[in-house]
Amino acid sequence: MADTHEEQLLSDLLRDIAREDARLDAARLEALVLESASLHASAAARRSKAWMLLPVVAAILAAVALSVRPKPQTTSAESAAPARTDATEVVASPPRQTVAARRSPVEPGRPNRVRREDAVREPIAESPVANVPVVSQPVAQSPVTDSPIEFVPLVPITEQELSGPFQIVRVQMPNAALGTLRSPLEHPNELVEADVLLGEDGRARAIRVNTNGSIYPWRPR
Amino acid sequence: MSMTTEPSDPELLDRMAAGDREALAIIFRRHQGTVYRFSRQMLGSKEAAEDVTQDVFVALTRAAGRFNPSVASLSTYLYGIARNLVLQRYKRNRSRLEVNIDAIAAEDSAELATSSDPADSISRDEMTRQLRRAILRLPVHYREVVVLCELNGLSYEEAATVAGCPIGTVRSRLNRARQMLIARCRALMNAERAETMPEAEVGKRWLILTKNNC
Repeated sequence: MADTHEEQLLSDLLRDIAREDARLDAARLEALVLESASLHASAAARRSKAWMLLPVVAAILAAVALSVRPKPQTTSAESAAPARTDATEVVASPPRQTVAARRSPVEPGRPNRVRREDAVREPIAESPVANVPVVSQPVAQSPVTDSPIEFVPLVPITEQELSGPFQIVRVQMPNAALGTLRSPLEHPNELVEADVLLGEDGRARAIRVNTNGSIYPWRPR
Repeated sequence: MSMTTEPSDPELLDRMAAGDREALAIIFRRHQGTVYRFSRQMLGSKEAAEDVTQDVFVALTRAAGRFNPSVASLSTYLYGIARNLVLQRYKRNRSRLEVNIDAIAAEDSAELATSSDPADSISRDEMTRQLRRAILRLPVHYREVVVLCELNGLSYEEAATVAGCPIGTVRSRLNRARQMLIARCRALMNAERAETMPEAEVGKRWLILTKNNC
């Protein structure tokens, strides 16, 4: 236990230290502090301006997203035109690995959704990219047969993308545009009908054509 | 002759919040010494104390609106900001001590002599140096009450506001801190004397100095 002498000495020494330290100051920091505060104020002003721009950026992004979104199919004969796909997105690739897709009748007024298990599972690693002009003429909606016709993947599909949802868009395209899917030398100008599997982003994921000339046997070619 | 009154701290803060740079400069000149002293006494390093001082005033520019003059004075508020920054720094650098005792002693001991006896003066210098060292080695919650109440003259109530604890806690921490300082000074003095003094003198020196100084 400290005695009173030690207590008194401690108090005296603490007073000495306090007296010495009273001389300490940081006046030389004034310019630095003022500069830091100014920088902070201008940074805060920039941040507030950035927040004001946020709605504008959001509107631009929304407009872009809407412009790339595929149109759903409709029921009436006039408006049965399939959603147009970007010609550069349709890529003909050799049918190395394909998976049979289950078919379901197309319901009028509803886009033909493909479930995860129906989607193409095996991507083709090497897809020769070719710009394919997609045709022009819309095809009237017709029921899909139950015959097992295979989808050929156009681009590698990740596991995440398999969760869909997908849309099937029916298009007519020149035989020559199908590349190695069909022989281009055989009636190159002939129009064939094909179903294009579109992902949520509107990009073509896979395609199927009738290997016998038409996937619609009741329609004469 | 016209009398001009100094603007009060709350007035200056209002002006500062409105972007008045001069108001910040006046506040800085008025309170920088307080903040710097506290930071330096807590951290023991000139560089670290300057960093903290700068950060305190930059933080004040950000949070000027939070200051409530009815709760505490601006200096108490600034002590609170400085304390938080010091504690953050202390936690971050717990592994390495930012203390340069010798630099402090060399810089600050010039006017220490209070006795006409040179030998006594040297002893007192040494004791002050040892005491500074002992303060910096106190646990941080004990150190802060010593720095606030003993070295900066805050009342128990003000120290309690800064430390965010009851007044009774400040009192008990201060009492305990004083006991620790006495014990540590005694031990440090003994250890140092053991290297330079005959063995018979070791352990007696603190006691002799104590008696002579009272």
